[in-house]
Amino acid sequence: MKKADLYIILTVLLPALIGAALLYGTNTKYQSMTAEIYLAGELSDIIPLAQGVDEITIHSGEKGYNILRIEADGIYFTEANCQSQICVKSGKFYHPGQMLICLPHRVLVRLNGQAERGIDAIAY
Amino acid sequence: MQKSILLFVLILALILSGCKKAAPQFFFGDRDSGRGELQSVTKDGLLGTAITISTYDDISDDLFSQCFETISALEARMSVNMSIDRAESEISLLNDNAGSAFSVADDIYDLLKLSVYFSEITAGAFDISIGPVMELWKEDGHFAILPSRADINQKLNYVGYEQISFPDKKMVYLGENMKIDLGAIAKGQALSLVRDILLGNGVRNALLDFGGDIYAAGQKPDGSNWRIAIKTPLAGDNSLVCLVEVADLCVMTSGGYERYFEQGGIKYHHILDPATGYPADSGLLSVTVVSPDPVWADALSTAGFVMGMEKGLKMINGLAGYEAIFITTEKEIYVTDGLREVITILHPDYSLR
Repeated sequence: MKKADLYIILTVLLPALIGAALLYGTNTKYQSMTAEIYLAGELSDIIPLAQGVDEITIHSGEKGYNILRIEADGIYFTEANCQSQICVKSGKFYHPGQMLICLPHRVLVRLNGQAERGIDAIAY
Repeated sequence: MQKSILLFVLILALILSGCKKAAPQFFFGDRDSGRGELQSVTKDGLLGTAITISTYDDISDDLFSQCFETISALEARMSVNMSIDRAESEISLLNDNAGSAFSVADDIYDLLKLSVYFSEITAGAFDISIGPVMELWKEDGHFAILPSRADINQKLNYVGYEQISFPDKKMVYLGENMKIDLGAIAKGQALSLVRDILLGNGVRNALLDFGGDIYAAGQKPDGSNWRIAIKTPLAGDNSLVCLVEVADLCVMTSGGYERYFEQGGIKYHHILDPATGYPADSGLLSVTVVSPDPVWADALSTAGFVMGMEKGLKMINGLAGYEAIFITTEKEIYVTDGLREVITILHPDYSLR
């Protein structure tokens, strides 16, 4: 292989492949999604995920709170003062149609966006 | 050489920036209907989870409400939710009358008979009389306490479907100190009732998502099947493990990753083995049953999880129309014969055996 080939691979092909990996990981679709926050069944906020890294504190009832973290590749609860902590343990979400749920606080966050691979629902 | 690489990059870039397929959109809340869009309503706090009912058909708000009211009423009668008044719960009343014959409503009678039948065909791996032991593991209705071995062994004396009998029409007899727990088929029964309401009202297609247990009624308006992805059976991991296409089928999963607590570095999950009174430890992460009947699917997924891959797979392969996906702790996927050609594996860490 010529030196020039290596140069092209490093400067053109490699960045292209990395870019492709990033695009096809979750990003493009994820970036076009929104998170809808529901409190006790009522829509309280819509957050476009393209806005970048952010942390939102969701208040419920008198003293309840859930901290929702938005990152470039998913959203998750970092902290909540609910008893079960199921919401915090449930991890990072990035598929359209998925819901983050804190039942004790009646907080529900739904990811809206174009379905991947034509998936209609996610079973678990 | 340079030219060919540049060409390759160019083609790659073209492919990657390429065409977007039209895909369905997920919506939340009431939407304008009648334009072939998916309308969908979610309620949280039912059956210990969030429930979403979706359809491409034009259906009224009243029909949506009727579905949710039905679930709520069923939950009260089956006393799945601890906060509900005991007087409303027919199962609580039945349990209070253990030791004597007790009259129950027809639908509860049928469900109890069916449950005992499930116990018989699963050699007791599924057993609704797990109640006395299940109570030990719960605090305020949450699976959260590690009981002592002595307590578990003592309560195991009151577990055993053989001690449930049906002396007369509508009459159910539970042995002394027995307690029924319908937690393992509550979602199945709820899915079945809601499906019947929707189909009975002329709805041609619907997607029912009861906290990850799904029933897909009919086909989508374009004549294609519903595409249901299954999440990896690990807590905190929301990547997808596989995909199945279904019509008029439910997809129901039992796994140890959803409701559990940790103590002394050990995870205790909520699917108890009726033989030991402890969380089932059969080398499985999850069992997903794909079947026409949600009650059967609910019971069989629980039983399969308790029985383990070999016995469970053999059992479900023997039931016509029932298919299942077993995922082992080694991340190996075993499926019944009917699924082998139609399942798509989505996750590189999991392999089809």
